[in-house]
Amino acid sequence: MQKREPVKISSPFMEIIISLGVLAICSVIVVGVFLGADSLRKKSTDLLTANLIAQSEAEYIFQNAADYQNTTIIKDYDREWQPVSGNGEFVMIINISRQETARGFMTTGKVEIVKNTPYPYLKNSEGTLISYEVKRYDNE
Amino acid sequence: MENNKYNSMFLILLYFFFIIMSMSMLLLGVQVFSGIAATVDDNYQIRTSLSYVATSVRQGNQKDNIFIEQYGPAKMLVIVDDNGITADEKRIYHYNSALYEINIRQGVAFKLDDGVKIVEIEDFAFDLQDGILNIAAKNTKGIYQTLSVTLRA
Repeated sequence: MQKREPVKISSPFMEIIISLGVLAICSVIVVGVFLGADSLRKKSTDLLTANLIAQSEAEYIFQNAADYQNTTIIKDYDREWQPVSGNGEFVMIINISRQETARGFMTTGKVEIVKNTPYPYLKNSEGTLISYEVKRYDNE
Repeated sequence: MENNKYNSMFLILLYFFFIIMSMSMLLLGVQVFSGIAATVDDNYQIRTSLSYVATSVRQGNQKDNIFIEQYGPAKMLVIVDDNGITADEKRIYHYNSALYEINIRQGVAFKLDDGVKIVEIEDFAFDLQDGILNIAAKNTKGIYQTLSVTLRA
């Protein structure tokens, strides 16, 4: 039986292979961090837009508070925050309740904006983006 | 000899691979960082300008005290503060790619340069309809972000 000779690997060559491995691992981590940062950037812009949309919506509701009874309004928006008819990336849920009190009416509005799909490379990033509760008292 | 040649070639290729990988990392980093910086800038300009106008309106929030007026080339949001003896005006307008504000006595003429620069913003617009003031600010990507404020009767 012929004895196989072990393959000799020179130490500089091993060094290069190890360096390549380290480079590959670091690259994966760095790319992951970069992609996460990019998702955070998108989330920050979405938060700003969600805030502005929710504030504006709350203003509209309270200008016409008397027209609303106990209502739930759902509005869908796509990735670019354009209104769509359903299955939007972002969903705004507005709950309005109007209660008679001793001296008038109390309108309570809850505006919530939910993201249906998570941001890539960000853990637990789906769900509620923002949530507001606003109240207005009318004495008529 | 031949083996040595291949070894050198392999080493050179490996170094090239290192260089390409490092360069791509660097370029990706630059791209992501400049994207973040641009977004932070954009968000700051939009949030500051819209919040500033909304807060100013809410401070003097009465339908009759707030109106929009064309003054020279600029469309202005005018908020009147009338205490019965004197009437002062806060005028907010977009001029020279920035949002400006000026506080003056009612009826006094002024130049657009006289105002105080609040924040730089690509474009800014007001629109008053049915007691709702719609404010729009344009970001560097050309997208308008809007905010509505209800004027109290």
